[in-house]
Amino acid sequence: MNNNWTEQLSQRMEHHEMKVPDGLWQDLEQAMKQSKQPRVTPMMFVKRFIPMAAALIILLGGATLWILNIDEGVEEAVTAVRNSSTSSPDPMPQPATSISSQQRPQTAMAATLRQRTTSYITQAINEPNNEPKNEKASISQDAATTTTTATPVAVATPQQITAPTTKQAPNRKAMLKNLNETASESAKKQSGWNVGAYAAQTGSSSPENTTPRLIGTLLTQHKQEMDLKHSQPIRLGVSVAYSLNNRLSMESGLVYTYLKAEQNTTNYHYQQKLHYLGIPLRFNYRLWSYKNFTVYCATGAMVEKCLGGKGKELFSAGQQSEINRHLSENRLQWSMNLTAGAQYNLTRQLGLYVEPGVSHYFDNHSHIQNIYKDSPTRFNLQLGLRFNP
Amino acid sequence: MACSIVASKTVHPTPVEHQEVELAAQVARGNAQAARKLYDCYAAGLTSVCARYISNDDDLHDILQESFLQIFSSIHQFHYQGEGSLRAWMSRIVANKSIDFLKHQSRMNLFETTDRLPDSVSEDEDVDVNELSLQTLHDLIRNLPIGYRTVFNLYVFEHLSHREIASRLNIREASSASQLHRAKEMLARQIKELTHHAETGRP
Repeated sequence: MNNNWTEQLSQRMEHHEMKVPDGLWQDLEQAMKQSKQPRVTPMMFVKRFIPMAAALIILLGGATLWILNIDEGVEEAVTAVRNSSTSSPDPMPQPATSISSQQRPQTAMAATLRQRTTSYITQAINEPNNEPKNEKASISQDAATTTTTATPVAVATPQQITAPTTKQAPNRKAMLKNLNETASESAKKQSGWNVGAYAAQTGSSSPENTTPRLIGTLLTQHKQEMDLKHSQPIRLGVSVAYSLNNRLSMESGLVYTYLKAEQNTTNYHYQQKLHYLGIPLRFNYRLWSYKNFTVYCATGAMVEKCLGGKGKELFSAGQQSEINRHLSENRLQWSMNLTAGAQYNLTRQLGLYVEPGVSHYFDNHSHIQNIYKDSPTRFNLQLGLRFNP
Repeated sequence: MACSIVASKTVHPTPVEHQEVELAAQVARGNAQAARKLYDCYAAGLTSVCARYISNDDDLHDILQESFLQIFSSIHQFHYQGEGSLRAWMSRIVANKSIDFLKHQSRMNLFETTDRLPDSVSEDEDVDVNELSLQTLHDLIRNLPIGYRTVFNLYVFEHLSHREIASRLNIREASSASQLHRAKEMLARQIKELTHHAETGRP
């Protein structure tokens, strides 16, 4: 019977003991004295609010910082090109369309990642050649060469991955399509590509070396965090906006998101890839403008559906074996976001904007772990160029 | 009392039958010394149980604290059912608290899709669990990927059925079976590797 050894294991393990956590009895005594009804410690939940509070602080701080340091920022930022409707001469881009890429600036990483991102950029540019006619970029080449990406992603260390969510910013590259309400000379305006690519976090894969002579490593393994490490989402989208009045516009479209996650231990390697398609809905409101400067805010929601995904497991104890499985999730993923934006028009046609924002992903009780479950409330910082023809 | 307060590395002898009953009864009556005794006898063993579910040492403290509070407050509901039943009852509480914690933290990556299980020879061959030390075995279990580990623990140590596990973890029964299969496969392989190398004396 193949259950024998597990039964023996169960009996043996009954005798196993482990060092009791420090101060347990003292804390226990104290808790009992308070004679409260024992329930899940509130402290466990408080930790969850810290990222949100930090997100708000960073939101305000980041916006101020970027507005003040626009010149430095351009070097590091991914450019986005927006095409706005021309129904009003107002330089404010009622954000008709958006190609944008959201990133957290990290100047230290920029240089090292430049190489990698350039290749992504080339890739992104070559893609649209297959797209239907009306969706070509007009600025793509220029945008590509002038942009560099600071792809922070969580490349650095594992600790960064599991750090509070505020430090992570999803990256979104979207394609632009503009509809001109007033049916002027060009029925469909093209806008540039945002070739905002960034390197996905890969982390370090575990060595295939699994000989049990590494028993020392094995035994200390349990001290490490055994969770999945999530890479920054990659987004590509198309959006359309209609201006409702002078200040308000409504925006929607389609967004594709790619989520990747990995887990590496000495004997086990797991890699997961998920594909999502989403429909966003957003309202942009122009708050205030003065000369070349505009401030606006936006709020919106998005519903995403997982199109499918793959999970790959690699066991490396003794012989290697690999298991590939197809992942599916029927539940929808809802999220909402709140962003503020500030735009400075460099020329009549070109504006530079920064949009800090917060997104929250509602738990859909899916069994598949993804970055939305891992850090549901996420801070985004989006930078871009808005083009007004 | 059979159980004495010793250094944490020593195995505490399990109180014999009548002492278990007596101890539980005393704690139920609110006897503070009895509570302390209960803690001293079983805390190290329960830490081992908790650690099988929770790989992060920092979380052990909180979960064990919650577990003991639960144990003390519901000890009057404990019905003695034979030797070792007190320990089993307490272990079950620790297991439940651990799983609640994991679920809340959404740290369990449990796959709903079930694959056709390949014929796995390694699992069925005899696996000798007596050669390796308890600590090594414990570490091997603790090292399993979290989804496999949880199902393995519930099935092998808590003796839950797949149906019960499925309902507890909100997965399908077939998923539970699949997870267990993988866990056993992985563990069996590792045990055999370690045993083999230990025997052949390879560095």
